[in-house]
Amino acid sequence: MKDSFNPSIEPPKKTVTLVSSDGYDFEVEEEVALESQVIKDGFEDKAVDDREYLLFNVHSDTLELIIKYCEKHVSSRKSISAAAASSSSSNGEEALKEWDEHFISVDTNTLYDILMAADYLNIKSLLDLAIQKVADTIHGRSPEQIRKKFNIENDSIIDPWASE
Amino acid sequence: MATYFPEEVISQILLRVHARDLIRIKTVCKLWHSLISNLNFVNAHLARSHPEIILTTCRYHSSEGREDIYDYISIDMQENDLPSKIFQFPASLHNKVYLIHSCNGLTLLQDRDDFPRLYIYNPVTRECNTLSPTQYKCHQWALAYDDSIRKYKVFGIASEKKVCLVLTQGENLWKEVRTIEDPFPVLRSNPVLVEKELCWFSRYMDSLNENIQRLYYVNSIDVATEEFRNIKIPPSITKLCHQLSAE
Repeated sequence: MKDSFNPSIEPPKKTVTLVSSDGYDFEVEEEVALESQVIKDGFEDKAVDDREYLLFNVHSDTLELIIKYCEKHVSSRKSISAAAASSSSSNGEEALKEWDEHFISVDTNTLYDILMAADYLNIKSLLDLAIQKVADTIHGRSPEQIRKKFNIENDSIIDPWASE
Repeated sequence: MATYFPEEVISQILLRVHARDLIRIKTVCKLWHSLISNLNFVNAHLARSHPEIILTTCRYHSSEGREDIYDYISIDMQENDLPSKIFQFPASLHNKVYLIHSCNGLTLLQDRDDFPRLYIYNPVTRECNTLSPTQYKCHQWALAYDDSIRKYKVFGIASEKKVCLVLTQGENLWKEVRTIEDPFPVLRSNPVLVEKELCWFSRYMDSLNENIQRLYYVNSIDVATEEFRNIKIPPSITKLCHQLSAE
């Protein structure tokens, strides 16, 4: 009864454990983990006391980044909708876009790892962000520069643009 | 360095690359080449791309009109600062053609001297095809995409012969579609694509009566079925037609 008079006291947050491919445990809030469509789909089937996910394809270095991204997006969404509810002005979406841009400005290997993890975990907004970043990298580069950047073997027989 | 993306992911990446870049990077490897050339990919890429408009400007106006120099400038409608890009025609056609219609980034060009000679030109890939000559003189031309067979079609309106000529991509023979409009309109608008129909507006003089009467029609041809329609505009709204004709 006491709680109902004091709405600022929240119930303890439920957590789940994510285990990286190299065996590290990451305890995260349930709503953060649910940013992944794959975890969300499997969530209903899991017993309450068995909320542990083994992520065989995601290294701890990458998982740390993925969790950082999901936490940021969950908290930003809350503050954006809170600002909308109180009809106060907010530049939350702009700020989040900027944060995303900064987050994804990483070296090619890390970008590759983030993209593959976002694909594996099915986190659509992050996958879109990473894919767009790779597409931007391609802009204005020659085929040879792209091969070098993404470590692609040249198996083309002819290269009609090579002479230009 | 562990870098090779699954095919589906590469496809998603390439969908976000501008067409001008795609042409250049086709040669990165065989897989990229086959992904970029795939018709489903081409359509998906087109569906994502920004609409652009083409602006025609006359740089030099000669007394006879033949030596006029036009610039064709494409403008991306979703960019605020309107960076424009001047179309480059193939060297062999430079200053010898008019741009008469366009569809999905493809342009329909007409020879200035050799009257019924037409070309389809892709300014991004710089590929140019000469179309087979038409049997009749046409006054209006249009290029449209037929969704149902995933091919482009060129339409020519030859009013004297009361036909509309249709050439389907990959074919050599122009097909004739009978139109039921009167011949020799006094005025005819450029064809405009509305949904899946190519529409134009025409005005005729009817001198059979003692009083000369003006007749107004909206004519259309269905891009897929190639069926012709003729809608008479009631005289009560011909004021609107005057405005249309003024354009």
